[in-house]
Amino acid sequence: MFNKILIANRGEIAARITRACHELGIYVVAVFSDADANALHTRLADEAVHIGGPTPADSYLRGDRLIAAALETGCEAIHPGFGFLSESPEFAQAVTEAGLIFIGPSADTIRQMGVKTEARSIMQAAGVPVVPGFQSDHASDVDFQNAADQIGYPVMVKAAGGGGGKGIRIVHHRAELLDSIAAARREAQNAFGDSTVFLEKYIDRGRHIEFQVLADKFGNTVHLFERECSIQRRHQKIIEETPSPFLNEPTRQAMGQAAVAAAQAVHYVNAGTVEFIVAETGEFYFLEMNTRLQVEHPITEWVTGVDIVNAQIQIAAGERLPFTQADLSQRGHAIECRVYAEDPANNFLPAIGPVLRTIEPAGPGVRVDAGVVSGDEVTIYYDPMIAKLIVYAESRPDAIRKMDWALAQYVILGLTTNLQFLRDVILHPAFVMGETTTHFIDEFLTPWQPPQTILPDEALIVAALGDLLIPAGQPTTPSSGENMEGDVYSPWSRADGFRMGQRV
Amino acid sequence: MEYRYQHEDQEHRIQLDPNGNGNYTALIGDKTYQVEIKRLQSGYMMLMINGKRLHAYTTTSRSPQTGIQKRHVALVDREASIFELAKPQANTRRKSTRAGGGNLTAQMPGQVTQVLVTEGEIVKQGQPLLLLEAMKMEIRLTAPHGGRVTRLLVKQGATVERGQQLVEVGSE
Repeated sequence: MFNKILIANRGEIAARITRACHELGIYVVAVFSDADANALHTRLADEAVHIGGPTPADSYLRGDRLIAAALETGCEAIHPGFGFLSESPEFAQAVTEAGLIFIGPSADTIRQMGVKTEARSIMQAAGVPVVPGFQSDHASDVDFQNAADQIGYPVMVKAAGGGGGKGIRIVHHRAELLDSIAAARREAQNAFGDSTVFLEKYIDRGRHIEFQVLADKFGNTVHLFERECSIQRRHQKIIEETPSPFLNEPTRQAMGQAAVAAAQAVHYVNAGTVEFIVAETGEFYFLEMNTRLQVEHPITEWVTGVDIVNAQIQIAAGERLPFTQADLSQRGHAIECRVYAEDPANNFLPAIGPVLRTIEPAGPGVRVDAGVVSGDEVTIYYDPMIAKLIVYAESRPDAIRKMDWALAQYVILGLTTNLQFLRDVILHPAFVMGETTTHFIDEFLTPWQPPQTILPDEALIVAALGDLLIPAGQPTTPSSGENMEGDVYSPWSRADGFRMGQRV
Repeated sequence: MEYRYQHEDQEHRIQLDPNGNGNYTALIGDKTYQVEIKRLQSGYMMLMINGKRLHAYTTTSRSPQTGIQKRHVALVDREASIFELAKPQANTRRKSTRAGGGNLTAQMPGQVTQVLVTEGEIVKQGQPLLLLEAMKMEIRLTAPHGGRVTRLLVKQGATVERGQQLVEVGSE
């Protein structure tokens, strides 16, 4: 087993991986940009190394600095998390060439699956059904237009090197096609450094269902069942659940087998996710394979009892999977809500600023994977997700009730969040009925307004008591403009350059 | 002591007077409340208000951009309700900006990735003026009406605040 691992990521996933490492007795080196000095993930780690400026391009995407940091601190392996360099074959290869272990699949596998077009042909050859589409490196505008005509509108423009909903455009009419391709290319260039895009038939009212797979270095490959990820806004998932209320047992079995076949077709090692789009008719198509840990992995952990991050580390260390497919089953129901600093009443535009105070819900079957807690800040540089709230209960109705309770208990002061919006989604009759399609938000909750609030007298009393009794301190930093009352001794309210693991 | 707060464009006043031993009398309009503090710790309060229990959290903030001071309150019995109360300010009331429509201010904080027009240029309604990006999301700012670009207030690469004016388009 490893002694020390560098986590090449930030936020909640870096915190999640750190905890898994500490459970295994592994020391953790965190990395941070200027925007993340003192961020939660650096505080949890045993050491923290500064790797550059606030933009991802100058820090979390700097493979050279990440590898140098790992070597300098004596790490044996690098966990890439998700996003950033997690699906960069060049990075995986550079890590390996530096004599370190990359906690994930091989660079070759990432390359094959990363080029979505190559993935499509490999899957077709392996007998896994794929969505009709078009791609060519040298396609002209006319080629794209002809291909789209042939596929039939609506079509989707997708980034070949993409993921996370970025660089995706849905085109309903021929007239919008070229503009959309240009916009998708720009977004793709900025987000992934690769502007190649391709076309795919847009499966209307499709369900986005993915299968988690795990494979060790000895050729043992299993799937950990599905995750239903249809509730999306701006093509990014906000609510995921498992089991899917839509799948029947024969379809689940068929998709599970297809997922394992897909993984084996590329000699997959470590944790990965095979994404399918399932049409209303029940036909399913391979969309892509994510060669990394997935944001929504906790719901799978809950219904299968498998700690996926722990498994990733064990597999990378050369251990065998401790179970076979026959040992695995789903039990109960898990739901995840992504809590974002954003305004659902205004196009989900991100909100930034200091998080003055968070009070997380806690109880049986409630898990909060937070990247931002009291005193931290949401900045313009990264995804504005504050935390993932995950609940587990015996049945879907019970899980919905528990999620409603947990969302109602979650207090976040200082930023506009989507907490109330998430409650309105999970309590919507259509969600309760399991009618979760990728159109759900557009269809049922747009436009959305928060409930009208009349200021209760109690709130005024609390405010006035606060002003009367709690002495006003100085803001911690000019940029955060925040004042953590009653916590004057907390190191997190210090305005100097205090940093974990750094000599003063 | 009298305190005044602004909540959703309405002013609220409360008179709060101590009676000793953690007991207070609060007057709001024509209503009187007897308030007893049961606990007060790190911004957490447990109160009895006219004999009814209440859990709450509170903290303050001051915006570095606008200077507006706010008191944030969460009332957390069966479910949390959150309120932001602004403290009255001399004359720094921020103009409210709305997304879409005719304004040419930043709808979100972010970075200007591309400036597509120059000062003095004549633009058509709907013509893209500049691109704004934050957290990998791209927003296109378009001309609300045809006219001349009278002022261009940002350059490519500039970091902008939400509500900041970016460009001015005069009428034709």
